[in-house]
Amino acid sequence: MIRLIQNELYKTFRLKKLYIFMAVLAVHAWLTVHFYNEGGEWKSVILMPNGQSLPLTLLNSMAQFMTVFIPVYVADLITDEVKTGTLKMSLLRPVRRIEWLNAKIVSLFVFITFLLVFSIAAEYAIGTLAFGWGGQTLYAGSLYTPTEGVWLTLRLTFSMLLPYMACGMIVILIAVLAANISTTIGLSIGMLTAAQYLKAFEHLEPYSIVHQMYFFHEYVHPISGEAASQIIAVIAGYIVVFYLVTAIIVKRKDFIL
Amino acid sequence: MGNKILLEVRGLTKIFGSRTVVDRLDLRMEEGDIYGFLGTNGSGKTTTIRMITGLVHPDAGEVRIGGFDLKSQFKAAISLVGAIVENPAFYPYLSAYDNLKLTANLLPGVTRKRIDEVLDIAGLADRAKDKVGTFSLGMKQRLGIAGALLNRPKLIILDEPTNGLDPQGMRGIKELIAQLAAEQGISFLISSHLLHEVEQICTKAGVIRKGKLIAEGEIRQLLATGVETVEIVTSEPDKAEQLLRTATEVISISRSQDQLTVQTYGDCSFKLNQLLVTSGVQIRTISRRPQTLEQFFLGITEGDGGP
Repeated sequence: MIRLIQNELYKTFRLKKLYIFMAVLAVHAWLTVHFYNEGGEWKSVILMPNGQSLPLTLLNSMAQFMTVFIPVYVADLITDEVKTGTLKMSLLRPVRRIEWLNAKIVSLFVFITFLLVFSIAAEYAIGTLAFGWGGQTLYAGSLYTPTEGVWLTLRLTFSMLLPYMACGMIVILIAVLAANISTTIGLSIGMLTAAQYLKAFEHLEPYSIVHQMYFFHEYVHPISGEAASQIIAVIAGYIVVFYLVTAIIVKRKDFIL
Repeated sequence: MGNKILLEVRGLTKIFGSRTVVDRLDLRMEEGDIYGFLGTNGSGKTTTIRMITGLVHPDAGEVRIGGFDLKSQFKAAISLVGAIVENPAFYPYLSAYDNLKLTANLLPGVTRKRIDEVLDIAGLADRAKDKVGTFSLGMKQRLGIAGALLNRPKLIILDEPTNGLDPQGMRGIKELIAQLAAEQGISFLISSHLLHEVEQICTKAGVIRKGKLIAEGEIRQLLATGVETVEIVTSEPDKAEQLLRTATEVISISRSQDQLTVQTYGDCSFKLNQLLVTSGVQIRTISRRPQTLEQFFLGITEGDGGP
């Protein structure tokens, strides 16, 4: 299992797409800073122009990229392997199908974590180069000392792993069922886009995974919030249910490669 | 070679929708066998191989490899196998060596030295660092065989290994199989369209038709049964033809000047010779043309289309 994970990570870090995604995140941060310099708050989401506030300022907008990056990555990770037959490199070896699936999920987790780490590092660097590090961190209308700010940035950014992984699990199920890459990407992005319209039903909105991909950090900001626990349970539910359904399908699937 | 059973398939059945693709198929290979698995397109060959390698779940039946049940002892069973199913698949953006390294990672005890060894056996040592995306189909097949050899398998399963290859590539694969079987004692299960190749390489063959195994055995035994061709050169072709047409074993007779080509059921050239001699027909030569695997195959799968 460990070696299977090693293989998956080796392939992930050899993928050009990963570096394109990193470039997109960096360019997005740079453009945000650029537009602030051009026209101030009117042209940008930046309210406090300093390096230490930039990652939290851009946390919401990362979701719009992840709703594309995750389907594209998972399509490559699973559907492409099934379609091109490279899946056989694992399944014709002493590897159980469930181990194969678990290795893919671990790989997705590392992929998301890597992009989150990169986004924090890039945004700190770009923000600091443009505005300097600054004296305080601004988040949700409150000011924090630099140490508190860094801790809050790490805590809230990495909390996003949960909704992103839930999104990933939904996409993995689609990827296992889809016959080709474009179906996986199209269906996943289409479904995630459509899920945004759950905001029309106010009572359902908090349970929409897309809503949580944008705003989960706001729910978990107050550590002991009751709403946060409820939302965490719901997202964990998404992960468990979609994992179990996918595991059953993978176990029973006939691979006509 | 011993007589230990290496692969045993019993009652294997697969149904897709309302179509029974493989129907209660039994197959048996002993250690040292090179088994040609023959059948027309859509006869169920690849589905059978997919079931033997665990890619497709059978609806009924069992597969045992080296005595291990594929379903309940999957890891132990598949550890004895190296396989190329359908086409060899690799990551095109990785080198041949890196692709094999990924495979080797999943096999306990496979060292870097072994990767170099199998690349050498497959004749790819000098292309080890090149990306697989630049390889020809023949080289990919060779790399597939190299990958299949990594864990020193007892059985290598090759599904259409010469498909799409040019004559040189075909010869290369054929020679490699013969060499591995002779030098390393590896058994092969080969499904192929190329009956001539199978006849040259394989010791045993099985023919599948509409999901059922309709013939199985050692190739020389299979060829000794069924239709045989006898060529007779005589100074009295009219008389000879007339006499031969009365023989129940004769299927058809074609004539070219003083030569008669007679298709018969089974091994009966001796009988025909006796019939002509006792009737006073002068025979210049009589020769038995051994049945080829192709003739045998076409004889038992007549009307099914090409292999």
